[in-house]
Amino acid sequence: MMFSRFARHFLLTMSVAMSLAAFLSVVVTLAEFNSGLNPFLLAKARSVSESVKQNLEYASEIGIPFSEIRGVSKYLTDLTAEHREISGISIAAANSSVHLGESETRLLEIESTKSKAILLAQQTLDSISKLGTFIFGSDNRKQTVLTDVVVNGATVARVQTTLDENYVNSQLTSIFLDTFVLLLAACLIAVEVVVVCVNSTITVPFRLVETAIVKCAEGHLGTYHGSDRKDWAGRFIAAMNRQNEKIRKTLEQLLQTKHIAQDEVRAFAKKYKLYRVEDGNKASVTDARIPLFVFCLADELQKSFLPFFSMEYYGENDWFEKDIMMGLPISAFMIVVAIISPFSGQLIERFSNKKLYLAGLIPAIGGYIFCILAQDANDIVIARSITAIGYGIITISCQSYIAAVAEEGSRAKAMATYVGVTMTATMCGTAIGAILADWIGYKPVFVIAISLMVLAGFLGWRMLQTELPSLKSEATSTASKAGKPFITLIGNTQFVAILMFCAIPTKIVLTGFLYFFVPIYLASLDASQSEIGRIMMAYSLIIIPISPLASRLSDQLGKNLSVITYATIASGVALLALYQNTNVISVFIVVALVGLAHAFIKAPIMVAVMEAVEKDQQISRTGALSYLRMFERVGSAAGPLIVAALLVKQEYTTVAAFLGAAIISAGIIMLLVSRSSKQEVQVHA
Amino acid sequence: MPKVMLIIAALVVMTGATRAREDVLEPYQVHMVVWRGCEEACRSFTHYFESRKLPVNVTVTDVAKDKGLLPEVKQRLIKERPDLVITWGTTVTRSLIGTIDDYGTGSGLGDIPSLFMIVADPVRAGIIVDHETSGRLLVTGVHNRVNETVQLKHIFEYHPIKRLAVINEPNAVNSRQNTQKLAALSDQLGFEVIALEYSLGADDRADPAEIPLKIAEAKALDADALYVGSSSFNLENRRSYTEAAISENLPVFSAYEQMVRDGMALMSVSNSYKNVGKLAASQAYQILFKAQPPGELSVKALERFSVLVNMQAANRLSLYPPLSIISIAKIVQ
Repeated sequence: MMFSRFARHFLLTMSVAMSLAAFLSVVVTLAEFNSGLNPFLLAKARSVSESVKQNLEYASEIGIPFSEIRGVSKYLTDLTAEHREISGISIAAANSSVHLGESETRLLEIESTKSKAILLAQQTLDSISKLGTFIFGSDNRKQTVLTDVVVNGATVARVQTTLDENYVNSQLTSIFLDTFVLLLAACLIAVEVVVVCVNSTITVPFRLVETAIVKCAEGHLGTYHGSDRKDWAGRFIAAMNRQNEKIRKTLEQLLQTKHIAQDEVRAFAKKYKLYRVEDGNKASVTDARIPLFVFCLADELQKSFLPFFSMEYYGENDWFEKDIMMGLPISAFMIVVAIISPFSGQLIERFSNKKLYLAGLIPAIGGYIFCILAQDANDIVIARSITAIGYGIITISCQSYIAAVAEEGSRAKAMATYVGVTMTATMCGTAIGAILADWIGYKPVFVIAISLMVLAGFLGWRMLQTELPSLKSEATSTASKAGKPFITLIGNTQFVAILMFCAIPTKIVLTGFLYFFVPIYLASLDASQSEIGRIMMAYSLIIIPISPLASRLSDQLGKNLSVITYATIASGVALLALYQNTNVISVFIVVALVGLAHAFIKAPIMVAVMEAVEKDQQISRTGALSYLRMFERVGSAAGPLIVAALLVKQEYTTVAAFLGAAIISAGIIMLLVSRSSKQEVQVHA
Repeated sequence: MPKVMLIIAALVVMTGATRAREDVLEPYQVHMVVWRGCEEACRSFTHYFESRKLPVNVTVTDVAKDKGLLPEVKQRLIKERPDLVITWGTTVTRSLIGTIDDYGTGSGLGDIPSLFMIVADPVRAGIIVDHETSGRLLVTGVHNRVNETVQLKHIFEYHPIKRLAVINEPNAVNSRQNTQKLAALSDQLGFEVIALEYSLGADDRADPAEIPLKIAEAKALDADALYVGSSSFNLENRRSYTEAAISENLPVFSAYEQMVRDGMALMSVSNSYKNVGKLAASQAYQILFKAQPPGELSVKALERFSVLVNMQAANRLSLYPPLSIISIAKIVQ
């Protein structure tokens, strides 16, 4: 208890320190950016001025009288529109204050299109950057550039180009958000590492020592668990064990002495449990945490650029059209994972999780090597499919590991750990992968992914335990019924209903709506690539903190089935809100709401599935989870295809609404099915 | 006495042994049939292989604008069986390769692969099925014209036009198709097309003397400018055509560079034939060296184009180019 409090304090201190460091680095970044950007903007303004000057001089050179140069204002307006950093360009005759032409200003337009909240945010950032400038250096920003137009050696006019302050502010906003995203990714990775480090170097040793001391205080003088550790705790417990060993030896010597009553000695040994060897549970949820995280992080690095990677290698001999080939690696990956999941479930029951985890790395890494060697888009599809085999095996292996070591009452919480780890890895991997691809290109990112996978293999080999108590008993109980698991599952109405009306619709929303619809719809609303990325990230950002809370709530209520049913309906209602709505902010809100609803489905659905098959003696939990994953992947693969098919005939917002209505219907059917099966149970009772 | 007067120029581009192909000992035989001499596109095509020292023999046959020679050339090609036939111009292409209506997915040259270039509108001419694919197993080609919408946008950028006049020979298929295209775009871009035709003489040809009369007629119909998009007759008589236009104070806009360089047209928006020839050669390379079936290659178009302005014409018309055109155009003095 004491040590868990310590660990909590440690985490809190770390979080506060990281937040402070994050805030300071944001201030420094903004200040540096603000003062560092100005020379670049001035250089741009100078080159624009220069091109206007050259065109004017060229016009004179080819014989056009200076006063008869046409289309000046339109030209300047177009040029201003082309260069967002510039708010206006004007040309004044050198010997008078008469303007030959000037661009129409777009300031008013910008002001009117921005909401007060955005302007307020930009002003806040501007203030932060000024604070940074105040702390770290001076601000000597210039706003205008003047260039003389010289004809026949005489200055005839002057071009004045003015920088757009709003542009600088919008760039500050965007750099702030990018820094925020990176810091968040860094913090999440740090938290993962800290959790495991705290657990293995502080919490676990302290717990072992605490247990040994408590046992000793309770009068248990046998052999305490943990003396095989090579750290201070191991040494401490070993010392305690040696003391107890001495007592045992003394007792044995006493037993050999004739005038001592042997019964009393034996009673003493029994009372103080001198010969009991404590056997602790070695495996814990934390074992799988870091290997799974590193593996998922490695695999998610490609997510942000895979379609562009396929596009780059697309050749005329590839199987399908370019657009299809762009999406095919993702779909192929999903389909292969869907196919491999049930097999890996059965394999886990035959082999150990650890062996399977390590075996899964072979195709995973092989696929990446194939990606590096890829010559066309077909190769990329094949390479991703090979990696998918490893991905399917490893995720199912880690998932069942966590399911096996979790205690009865906290299964949903343990599953939330799995979900949290994969979601964090998705978010961090996608963000880091995009930045890496920008710096070093696509293929080197695959090399980094391979290195991370090797690291994941090493961590898995060191951390995963071979002996898993609950899984072992399950394996023996399922040994006789491995014959026809799927047929048995089809007969389980509740299980089938969860798959059809909850698992598949949820994944359709995830891949069809979030990964496919949202980017293209946002692009149609003129959102920038980084805005699209940030809005998509909102989903993970909501899921990561809410998912554990939601599953804890679900555990406490003990109504996982109801929770996932209502969450499915809620996600449909959120989608309906997009009907006839063409606002970027609305899309952001809908994505966040869908994320919130999915947070209540992510982990509880696994528990609901396990509960659904629990009464059924024919099916193991691992098998059921494998089928859940498989059907989820079917939904994932179908999602983009369904949405694409709908988009052919309908407008964006109509498609979103239609999808929402379909999801609500699925949720309602689920509700009816679960009610009727409950009534059935009551009737039987 | 030879029945056919062919000017055959054999430009042998042979290659050095240093980069000889391992799989083919003999150089590839490419036969190009041109309509009016080996001009820039033709020269650029042969230069492509020459500069890369690729084993290709390019034989050029010029029919010197004589349609009557084409059936005999076709027979000769079928007999000679070159590795690839290049057709230059709409008339040559229609005569040798034939149209989809005549041959479907096949070709007038049987199983000889062919590639067309300098065909103003290959879709309307019935040579290919759509803008990107030929729809014929052994036929591919390259587009040489800048899209009409792009041309018109640049013309209107230079000078706002309400009524645009075109004067064509009534028997020129290309010209008629081009006028139809303009008419189709007129509503969208907000202008009116005045379509006039020359009268044909006994030899089925128009008389250059009629040019000033027709231009005056266009002026009388309140035309703001003249456009020469696809007309060999106007191109051949470019000097008299553009002079007559200037004397009526009408600017001439064209899809032919020569109208500006070698005439008094105010502006052209066009692809240089040199680049078209290079693009055709790169397609030919795919067919010969990469064994790509022509029908599977897309009919490619150049992504860039050039804008030419004739300053003498601008001075005479007192119609100077606006700054936006000056910033992108090449100026011909």
